[in-house]
Amino acid sequence: MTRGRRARRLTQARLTVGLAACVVAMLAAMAVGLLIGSVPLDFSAVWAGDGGARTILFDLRLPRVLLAAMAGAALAASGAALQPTLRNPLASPEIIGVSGGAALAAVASIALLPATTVSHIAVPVFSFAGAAASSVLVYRLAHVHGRLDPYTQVLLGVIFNTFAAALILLLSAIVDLQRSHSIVFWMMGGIAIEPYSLLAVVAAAVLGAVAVLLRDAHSLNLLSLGDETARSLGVDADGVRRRVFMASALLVGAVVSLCGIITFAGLVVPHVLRRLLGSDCRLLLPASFFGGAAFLVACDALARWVSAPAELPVGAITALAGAPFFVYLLRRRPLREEAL
Amino acid sequence: MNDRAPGAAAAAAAPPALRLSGVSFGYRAYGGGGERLVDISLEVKNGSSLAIVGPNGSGKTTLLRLAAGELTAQEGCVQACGLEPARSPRRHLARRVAVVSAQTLVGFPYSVEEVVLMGRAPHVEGFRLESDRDLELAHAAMQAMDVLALAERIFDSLSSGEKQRVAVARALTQQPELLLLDEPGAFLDIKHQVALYELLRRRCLEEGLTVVSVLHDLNLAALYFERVAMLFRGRLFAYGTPDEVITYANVREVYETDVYVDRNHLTGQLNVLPLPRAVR
Repeated sequence: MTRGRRARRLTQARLTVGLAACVVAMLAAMAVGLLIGSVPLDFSAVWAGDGGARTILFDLRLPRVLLAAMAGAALAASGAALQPTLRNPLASPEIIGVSGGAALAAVASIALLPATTVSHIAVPVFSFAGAAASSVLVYRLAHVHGRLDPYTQVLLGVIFNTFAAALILLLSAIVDLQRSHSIVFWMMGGIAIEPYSLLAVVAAAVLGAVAVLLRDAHSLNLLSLGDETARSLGVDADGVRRRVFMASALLVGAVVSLCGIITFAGLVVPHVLRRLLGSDCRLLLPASFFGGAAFLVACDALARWVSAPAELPVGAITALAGAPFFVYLLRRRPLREEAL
Repeated sequence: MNDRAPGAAAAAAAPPALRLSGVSFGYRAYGGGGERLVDISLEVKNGSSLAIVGPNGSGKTTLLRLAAGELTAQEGCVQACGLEPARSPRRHLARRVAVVSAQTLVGFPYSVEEVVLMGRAPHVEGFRLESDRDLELAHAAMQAMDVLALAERIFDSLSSGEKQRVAVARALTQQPELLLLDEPGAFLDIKHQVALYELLRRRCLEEGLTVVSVLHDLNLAALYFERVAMLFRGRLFAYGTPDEVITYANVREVYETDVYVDRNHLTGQLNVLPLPRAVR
């Protein structure tokens, strides 16, 4: 961006239009996601009561699209909240270290549990426990003089993720080839078909955590001015930081334990939307929620469509699409303006 | 601000805008060492102004941060607008006390108008957007600080002086009773410096705003402030009117610098000029 770049304040009209556009994008992506797949789907057949078409729609595609939507929404919303909290535009949900713990626990369960118990229930349970344990650990270590320190938090998160990655490599080196393959596949991130009962639990967790983030949306704007100024404007900076950390840990933990590591969704979506809609978190946060859902549903549809009937892991698609795009963004806007 | 407004007598009955009694503070609790402030007592009446001067590291900003509730005094008592800053609910305090710190970081592409509107935060409930009234107040403050033309510029792309004026506009938009400033004129050109201090003086006289500012320029302190507190090694070295505090002897001892103190023929105010070594 050039020096002459301008921005406008948030008005009711912009809030309404921006949110509506993101909701429409999400619904459009979901419609495409339901139609695309190894078998073409005819909505009229579903309507007519065709058993095969109904099975494809309700038992295969819809749960998958819903999970992709929730995962994308969760990652992008937590990215949008973490960036101002950590005062770092390059922060992503992975940076708080929770994904490292979740991945390590998941990989450990794949590598070490007897093969028969490695069901698609055990891995998520272990993974979520890993996410919880690592968030408690990072949270406790990141306190400096009784305050959750953003810089310590970022550094700890990075160190923790690197440490977890090293252990994951070690584990995948010592197991047999089949398990090693499962580990690689899990690490790449993918959207599986989960039962509706589980989806309902995830939906409750995601909506609850996002509601916590939304309550602090205006405070997140003020945190960009620095903690001291934010406090002088009536913001409980430490409280906001704690709540954002907890809510993000829950969001990331829920997503990673079910879908593995999906990179870039939480980083790129808030970034792009900030450019389109402005920095005000009162719009950016809910917009990232719907925009993130649209992004991941679209990526998942792409993953199923590109090499149908085989499919690519969605994590590979988000990284392949996200990384070059992100470099492009950075090159277009000088780092001087972008970083602190 | 040497002449008082007619309503000043009534204002004097209310609790003083800022009162420190026997305040001592050290950064030990925050991981630092040593006493930064020792036994400071002073009182700033409503609608008056205080300049805090002193050499680097004498505790000026620490004093301001105690008044803002950012730090908690280990001994003594701090009161701002009748509240104990460090123990009062943040929002409650924010409706009465505004702070302009030495520099403002943003890091995200907020516009100038957005940053100034953030000053309404303590008055805006929950998730609501700012009202037309809030916008009016923001625009009036931007007009006063000569930044209205920058409204849609990205804050981070401004010069240091422009940023500082935006920061003051943001604090004025907060509509405080007590305004705490840390070197607000540091990056301002002479026109904007004069405009800023004239504006602050007018707000004191006409609206009863109380201004407490850390200042390096002794001339401006003498020209625009009713009282001056001179800090030296964490102690209140001198406290009183500019004439009482800014003297050759005090400046010589505190700043270890030879100065020439004179009166301006036009205004009768103090002039403080450093003396080069050659003429000492």
